[in-house]
Amino acid sequence: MTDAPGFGWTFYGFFVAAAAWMALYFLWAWRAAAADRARSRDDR
Amino acid sequence: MIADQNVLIWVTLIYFAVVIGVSVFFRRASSEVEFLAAGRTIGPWVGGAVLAATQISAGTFVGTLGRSYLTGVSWMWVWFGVWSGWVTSAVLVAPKLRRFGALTVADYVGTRFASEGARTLAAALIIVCYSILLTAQFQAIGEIASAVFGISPLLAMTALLASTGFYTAIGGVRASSYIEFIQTLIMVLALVCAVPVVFVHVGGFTPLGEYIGSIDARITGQWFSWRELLAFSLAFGLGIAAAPYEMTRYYSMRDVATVRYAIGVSMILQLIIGACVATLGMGMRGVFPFLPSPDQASSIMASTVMPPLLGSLFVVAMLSAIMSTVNSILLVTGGAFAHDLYKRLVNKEASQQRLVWVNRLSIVILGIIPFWFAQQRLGDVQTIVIEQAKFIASFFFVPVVMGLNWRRGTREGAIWSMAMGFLACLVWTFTLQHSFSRHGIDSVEVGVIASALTFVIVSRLTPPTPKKNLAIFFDGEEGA
Repeated sequence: MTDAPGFGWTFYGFFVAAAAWMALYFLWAWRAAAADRARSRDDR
Repeated sequence: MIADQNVLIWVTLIYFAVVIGVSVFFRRASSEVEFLAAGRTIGPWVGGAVLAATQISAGTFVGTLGRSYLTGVSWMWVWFGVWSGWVTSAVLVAPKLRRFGALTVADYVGTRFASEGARTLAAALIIVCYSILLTAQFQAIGEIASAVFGISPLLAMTALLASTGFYTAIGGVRASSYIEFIQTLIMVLALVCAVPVVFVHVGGFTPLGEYIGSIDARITGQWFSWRELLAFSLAFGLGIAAAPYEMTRYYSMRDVATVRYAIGVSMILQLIIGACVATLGMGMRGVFPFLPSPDQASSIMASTVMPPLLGSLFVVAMLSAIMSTVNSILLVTGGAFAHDLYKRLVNKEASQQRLVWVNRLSIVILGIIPFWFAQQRLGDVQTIVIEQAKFIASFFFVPVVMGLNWRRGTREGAIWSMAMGFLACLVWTFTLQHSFSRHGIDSVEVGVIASALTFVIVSRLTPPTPKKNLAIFFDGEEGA
C-alpha cells in the first residue's frame, strides 16, 4: 500500500453529476412532449 | 499486432459482411427524401444511437483514451461541455429544424434568410471543413491498421473509402442509420467488456487509483484547472450545438419529440462510452505507465492486454467509430453538393432519380479528395478533429442558434457573420493561438463572438427577412 491519493470526488462526482444531468434532461423532454401534445389538441 | 490474426480477420470479415448486407437490403431510394432523410421514419432508439455514433470518432478511441492515459480523471468533466451543446441543440435548434423538415442544413440557411447566396456559402464552407475532418479519419485508419493489422496505411485507407463509400452511396441515410445503430452497440459492448479485463491486469480498481496517483497525484485529482476545462468544454459545446452532420440527422426522425428523446438516448450512450474510455485510459497507465505516445494506448491495449476475441472486437469498435463518422460526413458533403449546389445552380429541373444518383456520385468524389490529402499528413489526428470543429462552430453557431431564435436576423447579417466567424477563427489560429496557455482565449471563442457581433450589427443595419420566410420558424408571424 502507498499513501498516494486514489480516486476521489473528481471521479465519483462526475458520475453523480452525470446521473443528475440525464434525469433532469429526460424530465424536461417528457414535459416538452406533453406540452406539444396539448398544443396539437388545442390546434384541432 | 493482435496475437491471433485469424480471429481478428474473421471478426472483421463478419463485421463487414453485416454492414454490406444491411446497405444492400436498404438500397432502393426513389427520392431525395428517402435517400437523405430515410423517409422521416427513424425512432428515438436508432436515432439516439445514430447521434452517438456520429459524435464518437477516431478521436474518442485514440485521442480521448490517450488524453485520459496522460492526464487522468479531470478530462472526463469535458463531457459536460459536449452535453451542454446537445442540450442547446435540443432546446434552441432541433425543434424548429425538425418542424421545418428540410433535407440539408444549407436548406435552413437559404429559407430562413431568404437568400440563395447564404445557402451557397453555407454549403461551400461545410464541404471544405468536413473534407478536412475526413482527412483526419483517413489518417486515423492508416495509423491503426499499421499498428494492429500490420498492413500499409494506403491499403487501409483504400479499404475504408471503398467500404464506407459503398454503403453510404448505396443505402443513403436509412441504411446508414441501421448500420450506425449496430456500430454503436459494438462500441458499447467492446468498451464495457474491456474495462474488467484491464482492472484484472492492474489488480483491481482501488490499487489502480493508488498506483497512478503515486505516479502523479494530478492524474486522480485535478490535472486541468476549472478555467481550462471550461475553455475546452466551450469549444466542444459550441461545435456540437450547430454541427451540420448531427443536425441533418434530425430531419430523418419521426417528429420533434423523437428528436428530443434521441438526444437523451445519445447522451446516455456517450456517458457509457466516455466513462469506459476514460477508465481504460487510466487503466492502461497502470499497465504501461510510460508509453512513448499516449495515442498508442488503445492499439497496444487491443493487441497485448486483451484476449484475441475481445481485442478483435475492440479493433472492430474502433473501425465502427471511424466508419460512422466518415459515413455521416459523406452524407452531409454529398447532400450539400447535390442538393444545395447542383440542384440550385446547375440543373434546377433535375428529376428525383437523377438527384439520388448525383448524391451517390458526390459521395464517391468527395470521399476521394480527402483521401489524397491524408497521404500528405496535414497534422496529427486529434488536432485536425478539434481544429475543424472550431471552424464549423465559428461560422455556423450564430446563423443557426441566433437565426432560429432572433427574428431580426437578416440575409446580409448571416452572410457576413459566417465570413467573419471563419476569418476570425483563421486569424486567431494562425497568429495568436500559440499563446492560449497564457491568455486562455481559444480561437472558437473569438470566432463565435466575432460572428455574433457581426450578425447583430449587420442585421440591425439591413432590411428584415420577408415575413413568409419568418413564418416557417417563428410563431406569431403571418406568411405573405
